[in-house]
Amino acid sequence: MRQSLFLHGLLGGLFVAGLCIAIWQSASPGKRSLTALRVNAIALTLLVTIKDVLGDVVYTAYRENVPDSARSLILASSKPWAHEILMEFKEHAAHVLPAMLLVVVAIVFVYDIRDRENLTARKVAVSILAVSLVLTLVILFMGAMATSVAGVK
Amino acid sequence: MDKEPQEHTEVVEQADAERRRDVGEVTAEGSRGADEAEGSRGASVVIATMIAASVVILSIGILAFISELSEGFKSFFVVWDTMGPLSGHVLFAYGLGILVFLLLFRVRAVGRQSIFAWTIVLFITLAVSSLFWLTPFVDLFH
Repeated sequence: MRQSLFLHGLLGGLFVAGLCIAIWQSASPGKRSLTALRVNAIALTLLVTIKDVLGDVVYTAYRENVPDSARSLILASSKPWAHEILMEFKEHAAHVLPAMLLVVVAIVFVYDIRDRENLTARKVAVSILAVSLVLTLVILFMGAMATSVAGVK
Repeated sequence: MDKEPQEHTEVVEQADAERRRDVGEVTAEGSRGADEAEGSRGASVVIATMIAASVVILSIGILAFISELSEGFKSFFVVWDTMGPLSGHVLFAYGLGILVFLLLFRVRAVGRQSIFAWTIVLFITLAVSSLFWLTPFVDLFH
C-alpha cells in the first residue's frame, strides 16, 4: 500500500509538471505543430485517471474500519479536521480532473488554436488547464497535510 | 476563356471548405472564430464535452452533499464497501456525463452554442461543487 501511495504522489507531481507544460504550449503555440500539445493533453488525461484510480486504492486502506487506519488515527487525534475537511474535499475534487482534461482534449483536437480567429478556444483551453493546476495544487497540499497527521500504512 | 478554369477552381475550393467545416476543422481560411463556428460537427463535440463535464462535476457535488445529509442516501450509493459512497458518486456521475455526451455530440444546434458561455458554466459548477465538498458549508444544513 505504501508503494501505491508513493506512486499516487509521484503521479500527482508529474501531473503538475505536465499541466505547466500544457499551459505554456497552449498559451503561446506560435507556429509550432499542435501534435505535442495534443499528445500532452491525452497523456495528462490518462495520467490523472490512473492517479485517481491509485488514489481510490489507497483510499480503501485509508478508511478501513480499524483503530489504526489513517482515518481512525486522524479522527482520534487533536486534528480531526485533517479528515473532516481536507480529506473530504480532496477525495471528491480529485475525481473531476479527468472530466476537465477531456474538455481540453476536445478543444485542442477540434480547433487550430494557433489561429487568431480561434483565440477564444485558446483562452478557454488555457483557463481550464490553469484552474486544473490550481485545483491539483490544493489537492496535493491537502493530501500532504492529512498524511502529516497520520499516514496510510 | 480564362473564366472556366477559375470557376472550376472556385467550385472545388468551396466544396473543400464545406467539407472541412463539416468535419470540424476550424482554420483561419474562411472560419469565423471559435464562438462562431456554427453547426460544425467538431464544435458540437467540444460543447457536448463541456456540458457533459459540467454534469459530472455538478453530480459529484450534489451527490456528496445529499449523502452528508441523509444516511439512507449515503448507503444507497455504496457500490464497493471498501470505498464507501464515493464509489457510487463517481460511477453515477461519469455514467450520467457519458450519457449526456452521447445524446448531444451529434446535435448541430449544440455546436452553435458559445464556447465562452459554457466555460463560465463549467467554472460555476466547479465552484458550487467545491462548496458541497466543504464540510463547514455542509454543516450549515444539518
